[in-house]
Amino acid sequence: MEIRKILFRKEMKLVTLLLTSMLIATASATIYNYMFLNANIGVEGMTLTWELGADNATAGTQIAGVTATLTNLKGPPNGTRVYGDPVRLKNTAGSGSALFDLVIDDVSGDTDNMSSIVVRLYSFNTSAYIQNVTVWNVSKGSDANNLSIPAGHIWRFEWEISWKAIALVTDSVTVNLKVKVPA
Amino acid sequence: MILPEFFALLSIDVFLLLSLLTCLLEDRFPKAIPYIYQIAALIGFGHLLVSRDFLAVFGEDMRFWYNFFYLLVALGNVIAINLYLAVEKKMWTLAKAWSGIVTFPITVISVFFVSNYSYLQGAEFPTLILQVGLVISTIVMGVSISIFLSPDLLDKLKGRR
Repeated sequence: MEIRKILFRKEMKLVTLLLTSMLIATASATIYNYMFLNANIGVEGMTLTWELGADNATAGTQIAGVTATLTNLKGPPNGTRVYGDPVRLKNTAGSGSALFDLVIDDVSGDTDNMSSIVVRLYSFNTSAYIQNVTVWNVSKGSDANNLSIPAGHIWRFEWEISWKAIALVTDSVTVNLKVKVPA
Repeated sequence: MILPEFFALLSIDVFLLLSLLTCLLEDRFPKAIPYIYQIAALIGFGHLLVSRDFLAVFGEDMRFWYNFFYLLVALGNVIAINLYLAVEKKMWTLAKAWSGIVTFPITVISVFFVSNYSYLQGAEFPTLILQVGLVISTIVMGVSISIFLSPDLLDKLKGRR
């Protein structure tokens, strides 16, 4: 009877540890998988890379794989601020254009006090204007699809942020932009 | 291509394995050991969570070194258990089995992934280590097969001394 009790206790302990082990291992693998996808999606399928622009410090630009995050977009209340060159996109391919979608992944922060965010794309090589992308206007804007960047070209992303009169000088927003190859 | 966080993932699995093995061999270890290893694995999980949120802030080098350090701690524990069984408990058979089934494979797997990572990152891998490693592996494998096929060989060798 006593031996059976001890065995049962041992089995219960092992089963508990096994279950918690499976939970920890699965959760860890899921997080790693998320990080792996976030860091590498762009590397294999496409030749586009984000690059820091001249205004990266003031805009708080951070680049991680396919995602460029601008964490410090500020502006005067009832006014507009333009960040001329916080982030750039480069087609590193030796030949051939790259077709991609520009995905507005997330807009967070003091968005209630913000009027709009418009991104204007310019070619760094030819200075030509490419197109506008509305990142925010009352709500999150639509993604820009089927953009084509020639081989070796760099595009400059000019950001124009307009704030409402009720905005405070301490307000700021964070925007995540992703590049995605159409399926 | 692997991320530096892969080493943390590997270490978490090593800690979980240690937890389960020490639970199975609970008579040979202090009772708290399996739970301590579970906590160590949980710390690794928290470490991955933090890494995920600061992926953009921490540089590749920094991420490699703190993940590699965590892997070293995990490997250190595997070897420490081996030594504990051999030296403290004087369970030679179990210690030998542990080194063959746990210590050696985990060390080889870790060395493989670290060398693979450093190769992909463009770091120069000293090929001498690879050659020495292959020679040692061949010797160990040859001796093991010989002893496995004729167990008397070990006794004969001992007798000569």
